[in-house]
Amino acid sequence: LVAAVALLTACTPAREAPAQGAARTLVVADSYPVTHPASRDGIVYFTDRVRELTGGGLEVEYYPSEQLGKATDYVKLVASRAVDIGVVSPPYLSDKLPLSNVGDLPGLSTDSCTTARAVGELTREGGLLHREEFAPRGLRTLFVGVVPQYELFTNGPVTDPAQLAGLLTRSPGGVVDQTLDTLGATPVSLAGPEVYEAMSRGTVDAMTLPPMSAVPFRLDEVASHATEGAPLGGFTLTFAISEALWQELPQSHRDAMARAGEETSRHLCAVMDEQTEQARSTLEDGGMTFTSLSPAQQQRWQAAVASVRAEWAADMEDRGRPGRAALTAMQTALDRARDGDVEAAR
Amino acid sequence: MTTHTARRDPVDRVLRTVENAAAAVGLAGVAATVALIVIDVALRYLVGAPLSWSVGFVGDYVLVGLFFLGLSFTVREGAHVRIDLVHKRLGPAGRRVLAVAGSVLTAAFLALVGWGGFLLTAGAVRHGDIPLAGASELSWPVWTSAVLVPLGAGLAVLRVLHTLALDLRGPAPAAAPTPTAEEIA
Amino acid sequence: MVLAGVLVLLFVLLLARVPVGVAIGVSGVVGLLAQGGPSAAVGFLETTPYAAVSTYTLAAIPLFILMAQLVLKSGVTAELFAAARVWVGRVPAGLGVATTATGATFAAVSGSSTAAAAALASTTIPEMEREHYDGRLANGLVAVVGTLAAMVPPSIILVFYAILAEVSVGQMLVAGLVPGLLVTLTIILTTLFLVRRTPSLAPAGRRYGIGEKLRTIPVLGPVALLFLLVVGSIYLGLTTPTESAGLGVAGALAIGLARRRLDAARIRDALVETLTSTAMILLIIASAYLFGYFMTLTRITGTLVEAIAGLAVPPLLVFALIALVYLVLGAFLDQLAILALTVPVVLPVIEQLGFDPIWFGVMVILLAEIGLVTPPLGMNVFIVSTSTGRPAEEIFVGVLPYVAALLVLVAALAAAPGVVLWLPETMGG
Ligand code: NA
Ligand code: NA
Repeated sequence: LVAAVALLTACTPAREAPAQGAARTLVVADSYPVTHPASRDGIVYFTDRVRELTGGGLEVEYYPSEQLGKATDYVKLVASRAVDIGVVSPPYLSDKLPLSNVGDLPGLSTDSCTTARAVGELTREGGLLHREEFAPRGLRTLFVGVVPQYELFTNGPVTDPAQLAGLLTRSPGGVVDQTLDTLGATPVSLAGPEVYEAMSRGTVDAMTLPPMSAVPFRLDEVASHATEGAPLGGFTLTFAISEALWQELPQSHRDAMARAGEETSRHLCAVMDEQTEQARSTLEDGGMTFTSLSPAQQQRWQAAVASVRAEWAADMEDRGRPGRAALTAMQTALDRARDGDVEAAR
Repeated sequence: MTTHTARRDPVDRVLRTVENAAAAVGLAGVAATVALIVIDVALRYLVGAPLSWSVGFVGDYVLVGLFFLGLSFTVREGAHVRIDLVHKRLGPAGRRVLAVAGSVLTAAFLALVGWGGFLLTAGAVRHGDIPLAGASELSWPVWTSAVLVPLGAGLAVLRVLHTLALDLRGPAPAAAPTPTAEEIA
Repeated sequence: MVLAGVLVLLFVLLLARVPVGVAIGVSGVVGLLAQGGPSAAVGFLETTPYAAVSTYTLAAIPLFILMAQLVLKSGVTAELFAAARVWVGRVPAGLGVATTATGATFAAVSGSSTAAAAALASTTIPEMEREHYDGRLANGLVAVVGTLAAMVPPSIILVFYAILAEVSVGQMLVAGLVPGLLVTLTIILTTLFLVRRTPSLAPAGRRYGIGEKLRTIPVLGPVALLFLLVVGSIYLGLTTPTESAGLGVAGALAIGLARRRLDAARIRDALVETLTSTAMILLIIASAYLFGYFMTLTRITGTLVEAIAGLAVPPLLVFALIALVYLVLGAFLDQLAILALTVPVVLPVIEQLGFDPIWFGVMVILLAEIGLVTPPLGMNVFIVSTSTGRPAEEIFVGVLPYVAALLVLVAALAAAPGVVLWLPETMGG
């Protein structure tokens, strides 16, 4: 057996050490199907740009759809360099990257580009989330994506947060659980594909999810109404590279990745915002009514979820993590991102 | 089931006691799961408020505990499926070579799994990983579940090494039993 | 090159009587080492075994095993057989038909083929021998009937496939119902055909009165109830398969205790069997993930899919070839290992050809079950042989006509996939 192992190991050059001048091939993996924007307009867009910018100096083998591990595995697989670049989604990793859920807290922003820019600032080298969570785990983020606007899908209109009291409500997990809890609903953990059946059978009374995800699951068939503008937070995802690998790369490759990362963040958020709009009209065509919340109603929702952020920060502090600083930094970054939008618009 | 009833040295006795206790803990988890499910379904249909943490508990504690804590017990009882096609046609010397090789490989593989589990546990301790309480999670430190991997795999490695020592020292192992109802398909 | 080397290594380890889970795991680690280097091997060893095991859906497996063990330890098989004899009455080869009916009923509450074969062998064969049944027929029949447990829900192997193929566990379980009934029917018709051709093989059953039939209800009632509880709650979507399995355990325990058939020692035995069987299955699952990640890194699946997409042959012909491979594998390898090793690679090909993954699951399990009674490694045949003392070679001969009939069923289901798929499709809501 030892001989067999030696033979097998000898007959493949392990991918650690590329020959001088030859292209380096990176193993890239995530949990998204290739049709999801995080794949098509995220990592594929990114690696295409990197390939162009390095003149083919960096090549990529891409493994989508959990081919190399579950969504929660990549944080470890990238750090241990089993995978070179992988998806790191804080909402699935409340045990490992709790502070990085700050971008998903309710009532902060409903716009993918603004949120993505702010989270990008915090996860960049020197940013609070990079310093507190990504760097200690040997990770460096390459770009950020945000699926915006969790909404409440129900049978019958919902305009006031008090209407959630006692509703069994599908939750995607993460901080949405806390939000629903605070609003008096009972969060039920269900994966996307299970939601249709649960709703049609009445196992749950309501569902929290972004309009973008409601379309592929045909949820317009099982819910008559959805909120428009309920401040229920969003879903942040990042793609990260191992810091050790980053340090091995020549400066030209790092520059290419940094530039491609900036471009991808901008491209991906625009696609997310656009697809959210499209999703809403598709669902409306399917017979669903979106109830737009008036400013007064919005205010009541905002008041109801404000304590979620405060409690989240306090909970982090209890664990010895700088929750308040993270929340403040996120709010500051969001303000700057919005100012940036205003300037860009001029 | 093939138990080496003739082999009751002190090491075996200690291992046996630990294995039986570990297996009992693993099985207690299964009993708890049945109770949890009955309560959970009842609460869902009667009160409309299921237990929020049963999914996390069953996945991270019951299954991990049942498998890893029960591993050594299972190795001892010889319940892992093997293919007897060649073995049946071998003489005592050949069988002994296969038994030794099988034990060495099993010990090596379980040691690797235990090592991976140790890294997992050490990382969870170092970073203080702990999930937020939520719709499916218990807010218990991650290492309390991860540590079952190195503990269970480590115990099983000791068991295999003990069997290996006996095989190297003692008489050739008895003829392979015909496959029996241990196999579930 | 690496792939070929690792496959040879796996085959050698399996033949060297290394436990199947260990053989797959060692080959996977060696492959990861060769394909991805030490960082890949260590990285996957850290995450994979824990992640593979800590999956809530998998809890259905120990629970279904425990439920079957509780039913088994309650001694229900003998009672079911007695009841089946009464209901079958005066038909040709009555005991044989009753045996098949017992197997099918037992399958409806048991997830394990081999457990079913063992239980059936000890209850039905002595009775058939007393009535001068041909030995080959009696032993062969029981070995085949035992395989029903895997197809009729609840079934551990259906759950196992659903997890590997990432299809709904509930739909997969419900999909086994119609094919399970068809397998039952095929076995009965084959028995009747054999006896009609050679009447000396088996005598007819005797007539029973309506009173005797009614007296079987205390036995059949609880079994029917348990089946309805488990499969009904899955079909109606009232509970997840894992929850249904948990309710099934509670039900089996309650029935066993109420009928005073379970005591502490029997429950303990059932738990120990559950532990050892589960550990064996989960070791194969964890190892299969390691091996699967190695296979992914070799990109063999994509290569295969492209190669087959490039062939200009009808999809059914490709399926026939795949089925042949499964039959051959089934004759050598353990059923769980076959699924664990092949499904991740073959399923993308099957889907590319336009076949349904749930239909394919039923076909693969049917083929693997045929493998359970074909030489050289027909596990069910060995179990029956151990139980009755008949030589395995003789039982393999007795099984032959049934294998032929089941292959015809495979062809029929391949031609008419709707037969398999209509029931799970009515579940959607
Ligand atoms: Na069954
Ligand atoms: Na076989």
